[in-house]
Amino acid sequence: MATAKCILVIDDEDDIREIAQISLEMVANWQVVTASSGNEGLAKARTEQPDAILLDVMMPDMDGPSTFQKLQADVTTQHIPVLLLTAKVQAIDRRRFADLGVKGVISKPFDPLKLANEVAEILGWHS
Amino acid sequence: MFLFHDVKDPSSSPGLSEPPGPAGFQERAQSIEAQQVRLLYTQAPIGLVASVLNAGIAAFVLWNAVAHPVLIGWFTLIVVVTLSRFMLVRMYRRAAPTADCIHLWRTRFIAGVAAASVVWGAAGIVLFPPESIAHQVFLVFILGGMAAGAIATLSSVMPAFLVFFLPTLLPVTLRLLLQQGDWVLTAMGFLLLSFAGVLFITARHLHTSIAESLSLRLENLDLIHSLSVGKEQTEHANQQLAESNQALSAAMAEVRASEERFRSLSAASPIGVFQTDAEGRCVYTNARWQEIAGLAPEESLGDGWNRSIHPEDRDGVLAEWLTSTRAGREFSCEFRMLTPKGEGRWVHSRAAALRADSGALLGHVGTVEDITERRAVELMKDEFVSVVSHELRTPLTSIHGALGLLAGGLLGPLPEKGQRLLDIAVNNTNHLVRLVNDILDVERMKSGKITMQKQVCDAAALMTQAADEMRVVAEKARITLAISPQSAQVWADPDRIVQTLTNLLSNAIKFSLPGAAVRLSTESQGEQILFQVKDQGRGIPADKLESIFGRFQQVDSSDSRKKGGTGLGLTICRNIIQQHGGRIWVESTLGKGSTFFFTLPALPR
Repeated sequence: MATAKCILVIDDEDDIREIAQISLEMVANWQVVTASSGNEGLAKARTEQPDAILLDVMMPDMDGPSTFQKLQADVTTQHIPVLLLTAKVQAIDRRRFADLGVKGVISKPFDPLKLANEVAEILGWHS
Repeated sequence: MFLFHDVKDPSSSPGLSEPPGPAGFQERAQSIEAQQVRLLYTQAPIGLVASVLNAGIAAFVLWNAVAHPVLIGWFTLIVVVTLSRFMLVRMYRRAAPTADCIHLWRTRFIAGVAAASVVWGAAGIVLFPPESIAHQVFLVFILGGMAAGAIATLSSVMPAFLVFFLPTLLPVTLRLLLQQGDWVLTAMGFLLLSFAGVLFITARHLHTSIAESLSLRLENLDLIHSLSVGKEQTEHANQQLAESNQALSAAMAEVRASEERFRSLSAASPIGVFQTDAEGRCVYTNARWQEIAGLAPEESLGDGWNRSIHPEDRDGVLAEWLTSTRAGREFSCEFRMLTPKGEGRWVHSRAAALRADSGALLGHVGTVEDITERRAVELMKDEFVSVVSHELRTPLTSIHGALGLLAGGLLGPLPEKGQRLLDIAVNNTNHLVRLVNDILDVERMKSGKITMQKQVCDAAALMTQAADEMRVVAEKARITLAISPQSAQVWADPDRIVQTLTNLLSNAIKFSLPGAAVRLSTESQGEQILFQVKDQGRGIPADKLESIFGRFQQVDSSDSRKKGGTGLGLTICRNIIQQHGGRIWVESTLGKGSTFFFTLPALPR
């Protein structure tokens, strides 16, 4: 497992945000920063410069794809790999998300014990 | 000679009958000859009676001028020849000979005439009284009269006339001309010669007239026959025409009735109907079509339909129209129509080509169905499914995550019972997640919202991927997973086929006892590939073989709880396979196991 990673979790659901944080911190011993909206996430991405961002798709005000596009438009954040967290399970949705340019898609509900491993695998951190 | 060359050619006569061919000419000539001979025999009795009477008068007048034995002998010969000829006439009448044997009767008659002419000709020599000028004139008169009478009875056949005419007049003529010293007799000879010439010419004319008359008669008969045949043919043709007219009238009535039915159906149809010509111009629209498009009947014709398509959809619709018509397949497209007032409607249009028997394109016929309400309902359902998906998954994610963290022991050990209760909660949460996923899958498939992303796949790769996904589960259940990958190309959505295979493998593993084997194999069957998942489980009762593919239909109602299934797996499998144009079914023997089969269309190698 990769070490000393910093992950930004952007999700409007407090419970899910907290579970993801606990999961990543306790299973992988990563540092986790959270944001409850797209705008907050953008701000923290700029200031915290995380190693990766877990971004919820369905959020009020600014949804995941819009947030991702803004991250990509910002030179200070466009290098940060983004993984989408989504309850949408259709293959067509997955392809649409992949077309946006995100590194991967993790389905909800996720397994908290395997979440960190899944992230590391998608981003190639095992090696 | 004066045979038949002077008979008028029948074919030269104007008439409606077809001119006879070479065989016809011969037949026609034979018929004319038969008629001429018939005339000879018909008129013969008058000549015979006249011959005997004249001979009797001659014998009586010359009784004192000629030696009696000569006169009696001559008269006897006349009677014998005349009786012989009379017998011949009787034989002819009895025989009623046909045209093909008439020549023989002609020859016989001429022979009889020749015999008579010899006897009459002999009279000019043996009965010629050298002393009495009055008797000489009488003899010349009676012989000239016989020759003149022969015109009427014998001129129909010139040889018969000549055979009588020449021998009868020639001896007495020569006798007169050669009588030296008596200029009166010589003058009589020349007069008789002149008379003979006139007789010959008259006979010749009469013969020609008779021949022409016979020819015309035959032509008339032919004409009558031809007219009769023509009349029969005309009557037959008229009858056929009448029958055809009757059939045509019936067909036209049927067409009118059919057209009326179509008009009625079309007018009352809740679906828009249209027809185009070969160039794609509208030539017919029904009232419903005009209502959907918001156009007057005359506005809907020609290229009017083109303007009814929503501007944003027009290019796509036209492209699909061109693609489908060029490919010769049915046009089917959902798009928006826009009325002149700006009212938009969603429609589903279908159209198919109309072709002549020769294959030439005549145009297209099609329908337009207003699906605005259906689209609205589908939209609502989509939104509902999306909301349910999100709203159910969000708390499930939290519960599932929290329980998972607890059950994973990350927060420290729990009491045994607490751990057990936590495991129960985790298992049921997992079940709930699967259930929500499956329900959403089924609903989306039912509404056609799941589109199969089909591509060329290798059956062996799909089998291997599915088996790899299930290998851990199989090992945990101590089930041997045996696959026989066979490379074959199929046209399928790989994710969905793997989903189907894992579903079937999962079921097979669940219902097999530890130590048993589950086999996965494929078989090429021409245009399709047959997949088989075979287990050695408890089997399925015959009455459940079909129903298990229904929603929440399991062999045992407790299976979903005991085995962890949702009761929707096989429903999803069937939906997936059906959307691939394949078939899925199961064969089973209780206590021995089951084999699930499904087919997919194969691609040509």
